[in-house]
Amino acid sequence: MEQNHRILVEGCLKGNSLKQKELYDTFAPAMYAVAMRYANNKLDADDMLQNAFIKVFRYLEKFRFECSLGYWIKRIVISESLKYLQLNWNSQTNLIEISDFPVQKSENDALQHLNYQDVKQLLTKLPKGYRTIFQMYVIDDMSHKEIAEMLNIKESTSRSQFMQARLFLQQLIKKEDSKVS
Amino acid sequence: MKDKKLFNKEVIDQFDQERMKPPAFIWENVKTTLGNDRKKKIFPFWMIASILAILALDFYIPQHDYSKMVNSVDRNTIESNSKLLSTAIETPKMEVENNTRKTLKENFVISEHKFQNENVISKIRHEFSNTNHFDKSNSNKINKSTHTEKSADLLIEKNKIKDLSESKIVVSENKFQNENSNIIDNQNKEDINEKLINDRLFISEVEPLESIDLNLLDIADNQLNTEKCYKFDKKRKRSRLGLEVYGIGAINQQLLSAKNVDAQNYLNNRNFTEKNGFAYGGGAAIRYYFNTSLYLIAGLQYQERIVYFNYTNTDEVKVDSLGRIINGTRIKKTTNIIRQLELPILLGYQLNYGSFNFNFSGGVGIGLWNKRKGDIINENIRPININSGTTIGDSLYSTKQSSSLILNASLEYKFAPKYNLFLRPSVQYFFKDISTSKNPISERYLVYGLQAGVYIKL
Repeated sequence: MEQNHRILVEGCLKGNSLKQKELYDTFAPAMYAVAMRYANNKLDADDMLQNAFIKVFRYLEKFRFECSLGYWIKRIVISESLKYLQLNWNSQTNLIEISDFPVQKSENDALQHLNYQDVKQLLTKLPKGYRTIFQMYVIDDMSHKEIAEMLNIKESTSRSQFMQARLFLQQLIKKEDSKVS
Repeated sequence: MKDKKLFNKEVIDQFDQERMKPPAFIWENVKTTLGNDRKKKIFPFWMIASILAILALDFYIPQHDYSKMVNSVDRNTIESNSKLLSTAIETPKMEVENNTRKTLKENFVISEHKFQNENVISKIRHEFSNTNHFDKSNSNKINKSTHTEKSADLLIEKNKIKDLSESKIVVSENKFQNENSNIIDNQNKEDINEKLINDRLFISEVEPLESIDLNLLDIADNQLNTEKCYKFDKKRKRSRLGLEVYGIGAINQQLLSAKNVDAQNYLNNRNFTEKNGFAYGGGAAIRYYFNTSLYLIAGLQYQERIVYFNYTNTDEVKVDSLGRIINGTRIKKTTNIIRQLELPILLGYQLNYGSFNFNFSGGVGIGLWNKRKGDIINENIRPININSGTTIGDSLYSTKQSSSLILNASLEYKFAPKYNLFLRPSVQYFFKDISTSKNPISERYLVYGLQAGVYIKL
């Protein structure tokens, strides 16, 4: 796989448009799904993916195969998505205080029993700031340090935002449960 | 790490394996941007090449500096040259001409300022002034075309002397220049020469002729054939190059027009939501003078043009992240900015009035790079973001390069020998539509205002 990616990268660096298209076709579907998760709407995701792939091709010569090509591209997609979201963030979406959502600390069991569609549905209901950090940490498996660097915030802020996101999510589940019952 | 395992592992895997087909236009936009990147890489090379070409012009076009002419006989040979002068006067059939490098036995060129032989010079001057002594029979012809108090070159020409006793010496004081190096009109000079020759002005009294020393002639021959004889004096070379640096403050008028009849309503809404702003920027350019009046300007100019976007919708409906429907008024105010880097190439004409210059110039501004940031409404009368590189949709509202026509008139004040301050009213019309062919509205701009700056002679 890595050998194929090397050939692909070398072709792109030589300006071979067929190789560029091949690289795009290989990774774009997965990356579009990532962008959709962060954007939460199609239009923003389109822009994020476009910006990310422009950057991928511009900076491809700096890729040293120290990690997988897919992982490197995914980081760029996430980075571009964050940049795009930050440009359009307003204060309301960023700063939801935990006091606004008084929740009781509950076990994570409720989350463990959720299936893929439920999680996806719940994530769309999270405020943008929480959703971003929650996804980066849980789904994209990034550390708080990495998140802090990418968002240009303190590591402790990332932790507290994640905690609040988790509590917010649990509160949403409770609300959903109460509606059903 | 426990909190990372909030969800079932299968759920996380499903997120990882999720694939969605992106719209086809994304690849098209990426491809177009990559293509533009390649074009941009070419830009610095031809930009540098054009600057080098202008600089090369400065060296290759001959300098019209008439202030220093032919002779540069060494000071050390003044004495021998003074002897040569007397010999030349006495030598039959000896012709002394200006600007020719014939053999010395036929030609002598003697420089007054190098020579410094007061006796000889004063004598010849005396002969010039004393026109009453001119006599046809002596056939000593003096051709005094132009002269000034501090003459640079004095040429004594003995022309077509047939007999020693007749001593037909033609003394030509040719191409005299004053210290300020004013350019002599060659044509006028020749006309005067011809007139004076026709009038047959002759010197009647010349030093008695004695003998000729051929060794001295050989020495002078060698001197005349050295490079020094035709060396230009670089101290007097007039610089053709200058650098101007300026700032711009102007009004930016957006000129929108519908490309078809159906777009008229959209045009009205665009005009309603967008108001003209101002423009500002600066530039630096090289000015190259072909002569004292005509010049070429080429450089780089950066400009930011502002348009104010103001959108209000009183019937806005929005669904928030919790799924609630919110009714209200939506107001969106944005300052749209077009940033542009261009290459102005102008031809100018300069009129000098003492310490002031009036300049007129016109030409084109070639767009090299631009970027737009802000919002406009789309055809559905909804605000959309038009930031370059992040355009939503099928690149309908993306921005193209635009070129412009430029007309300037400026007043320059020479406040120091090498420095001029200038104030320049300027009009710039961006004649090329900056929107894509798919956009039903064409977007052009008219920028008019003032430029102020300094011109430095290099």
